[in-house]
Amino acid sequence: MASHAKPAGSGTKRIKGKIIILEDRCKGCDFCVEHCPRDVLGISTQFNEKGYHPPEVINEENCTFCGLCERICPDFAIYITTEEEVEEVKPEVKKVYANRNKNLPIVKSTMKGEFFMQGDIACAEGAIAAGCRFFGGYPITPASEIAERMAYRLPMLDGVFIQFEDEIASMASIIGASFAGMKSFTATSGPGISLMTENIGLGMMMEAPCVVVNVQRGSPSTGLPTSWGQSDMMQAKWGSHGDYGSISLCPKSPQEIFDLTIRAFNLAEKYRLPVFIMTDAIVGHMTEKVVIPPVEEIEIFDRKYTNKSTDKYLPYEIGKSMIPDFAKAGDGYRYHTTGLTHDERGYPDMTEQCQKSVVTRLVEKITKNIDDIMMIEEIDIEGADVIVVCYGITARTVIPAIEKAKKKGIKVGYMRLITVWPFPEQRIKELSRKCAGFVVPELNLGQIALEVERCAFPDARTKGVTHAGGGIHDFNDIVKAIEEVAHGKK
Amino acid sequence: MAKNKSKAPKNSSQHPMEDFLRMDRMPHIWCPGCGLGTNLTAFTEAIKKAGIDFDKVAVVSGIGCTARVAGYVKVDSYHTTHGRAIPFATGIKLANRDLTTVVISGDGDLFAIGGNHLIHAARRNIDLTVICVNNFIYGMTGGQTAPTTPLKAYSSTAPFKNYEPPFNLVSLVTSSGATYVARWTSLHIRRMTDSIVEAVNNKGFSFIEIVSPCPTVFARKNKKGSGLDLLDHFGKRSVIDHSANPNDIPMDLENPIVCGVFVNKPKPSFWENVQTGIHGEVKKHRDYEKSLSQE
Amino acid sequence: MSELRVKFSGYGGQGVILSAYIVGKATAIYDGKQASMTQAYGPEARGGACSSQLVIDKKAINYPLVDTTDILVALSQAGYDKFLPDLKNKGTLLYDNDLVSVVQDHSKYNALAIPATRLAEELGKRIVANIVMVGFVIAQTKLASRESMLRAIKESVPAKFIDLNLKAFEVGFNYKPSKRRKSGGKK
Repeated sequence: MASHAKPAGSGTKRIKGKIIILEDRCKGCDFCVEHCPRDVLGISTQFNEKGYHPPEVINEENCTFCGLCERICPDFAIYITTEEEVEEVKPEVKKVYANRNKNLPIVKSTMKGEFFMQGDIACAEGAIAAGCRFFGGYPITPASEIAERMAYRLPMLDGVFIQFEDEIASMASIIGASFAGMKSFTATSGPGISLMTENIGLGMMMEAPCVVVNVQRGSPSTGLPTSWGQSDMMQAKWGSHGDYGSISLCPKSPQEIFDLTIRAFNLAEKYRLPVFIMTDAIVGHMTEKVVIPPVEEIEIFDRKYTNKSTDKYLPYEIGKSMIPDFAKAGDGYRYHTTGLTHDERGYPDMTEQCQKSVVTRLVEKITKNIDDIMMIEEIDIEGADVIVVCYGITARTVIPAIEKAKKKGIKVGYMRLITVWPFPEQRIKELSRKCAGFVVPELNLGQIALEVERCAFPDARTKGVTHAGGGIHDFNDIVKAIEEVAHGKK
Repeated sequence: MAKNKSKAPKNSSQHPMEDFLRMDRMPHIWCPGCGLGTNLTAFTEAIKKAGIDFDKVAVVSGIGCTARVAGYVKVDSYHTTHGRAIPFATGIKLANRDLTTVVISGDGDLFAIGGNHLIHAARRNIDLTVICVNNFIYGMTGGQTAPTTPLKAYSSTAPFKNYEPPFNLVSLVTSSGATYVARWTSLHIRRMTDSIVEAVNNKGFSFIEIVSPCPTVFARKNKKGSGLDLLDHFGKRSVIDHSANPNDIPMDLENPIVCGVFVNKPKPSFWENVQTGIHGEVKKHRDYEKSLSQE
Repeated sequence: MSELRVKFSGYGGQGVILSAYIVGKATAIYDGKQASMTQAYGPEARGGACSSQLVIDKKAINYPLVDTTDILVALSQAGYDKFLPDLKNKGTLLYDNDLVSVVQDHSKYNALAIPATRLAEELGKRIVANIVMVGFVIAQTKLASRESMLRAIKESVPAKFIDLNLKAFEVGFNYKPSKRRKSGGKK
């Protein structure tokens, strides 16, 4: 902005200048006219494009080029220039907070060796191994151990741990941290996920790489805080309003929590979205041997930062990969992003076409990359009459039932969904033509069973074995279901 | 409508705000006579005056008229969910402490749906500057009662006048622990600018309330005339008293609008306290390194 | 030894979970077996019924929970009452005979009593009653090797309490249960 001239009539040299009015920007509020201290401006009788009366200069000789009109104009429609540019004050660029604390103890970031370790702790260690240095969370059983571990580990790694006032804030903060370039995550259970859902939607829309851990317990509402369930599986897919692709990983042991937490970060970074780890109170609170490899043996994927110059970069420009390149806050790109439907510049775009292209891409960036994302474990699938589809802790508790059914002469296959979302639609369809049916035991009243049924229909039968949570299946129920499906075979 | 013949130079690139605003998004969506553009000018002037590199500024907003500021200011800017700008900004600030992180949002966003985040961020003394544009009403959704709507004012959800007393924003924030607290109106363009400079330089939680005219809903529903009339009305009613006790200066429809800088007492910020805490405690964890490795 | 299913029961605050953790660590990390530990607890931080379950096997453990129990450790009457029905025929019961005072017929089991809490008090800290019990469990059942146990204790308790805990372990390990049962068991 032009520097302020001295007031006229104070005996010093009069400063020449110009008042420039950008008429088409004006909305006719008259702030400038009314507040000009020397009545330089008046209201024009002319209309501008939008039908407003812009200001006009009526007493130019009175103007001292004080700049008040420029400052008060809410529409950036008027400014002044002075000919005697009294030293254009170039803002001296200074780094305000460049004081990262260098005196922190230098510690190895990653543990190494064999540990008898709880699932929740393994999750925290997996996050650290993946390079995560930001945790925002709120205490909740049975996920609190993750927060406690991060509170201990992160500060000594120059990372950030912050316990928020609620889960809404926690989720918002990890998206913010992600945009500032830190790998970030939060951990909670069902009630906390319900609060986070709002900003999970924001993370999906803004495409913020981050990880959300759900240590599931008995639900709905407060449910069974210290006991187990798998009843948030559909929430992980459909929790927020709107369509978006979801990635959910279901570990069955502390070792797998460690491994899959690293994978969750890698997928979040690669596909730019909040990735869920859907574990449960049993696995989270289970303690088993966890082998943590040396840090150099852990495969880490980091988000792709743009190599474009600041003037060429568009935050949501899509190349071949469907995933926009990233630029972090403070790197000079000065870009905008919003939870509103936005174009490739990140600006709101309220058109049907833009909505279609954004939402379709949010879904398809996952579904079209399903081969890269999906992980399933199959045992004795070839020639099986009945296939037991399971995930998480249920993948372990069904084993005795399967063995029993096999002893009874039934050919039982085992299919474990390590990624429940994206769902292995094609694989289930393919198998449905070869087997009599699927048995889906889960600790809810039938969520993934519906998904299996949708894909298996009409070639194969699907039978869910439900359990409301708080315990595990009676093994006889599963055997019975397997028998039922086997004997009703085509 | 008559087309204007003599137009001002089309070359808008010369406007001094060019480098700091997303001019490709002008005109903005704010109503004629709304104070938001003025407040935005004051903000950008303040960043310039403070000598801060615009590359190192992040602006975060929630939802509402004011929240659209994030879409117009040409820095890293995040238009987030309703009420959640402060925790989002907390994430950015703590993940990159080099950034001057500013939350610009409205009274409904910050004090109704986001009230809890606000008081906790103030309590923690997170190094953020929160600029709250207070127009006494929910503007974008059509003039419903906000937690700032004065007693006996009309709104679209208070057809028989508002019967809920409003928050005194500066008092609430002061008692929550903010280390810089000020109030201005949109008319105090120079003082407001200077105040923002002080706020961004304060390494802790800074709060500035800007009383700003909403011509389209607040003025219309309360028969206050145009935006200009409302601005003049604020001007006539406002007095500057830096020594005022924030608790004694609530907002209503008649009494003076007391403006000034009421709190300017730096305290260690959240991050400074974390650092102090680690250095104090780390000796107790000498075996930390050892505990990370087994066999 | 093939698969063994062990349940530790007591009140929150007695160190029931730490007991199972130490045994699990000794077997899984130092004895080269597999161990899987799970836990069940209520909303109380102290005084609620609490149990931890440990499955030990030479091969990978699929089913991690303990329904039918091979070894039951009871540090409370409530835990004893609740879990005794799940103990196998000829299963081993180890209990604190000061805290479990109302006992049932033990003829089906190998029942072994120790006044673990009293012994811990004699050491000066009743908080190590769990470790006294663990020492007793190891001596009687050979779930883990003594060396591995000592190592696991050193790695799992706060540095300044290592000596006390090792002492507590030895007290339990060397305790000889009397042949006479406190009450009406027929054995």
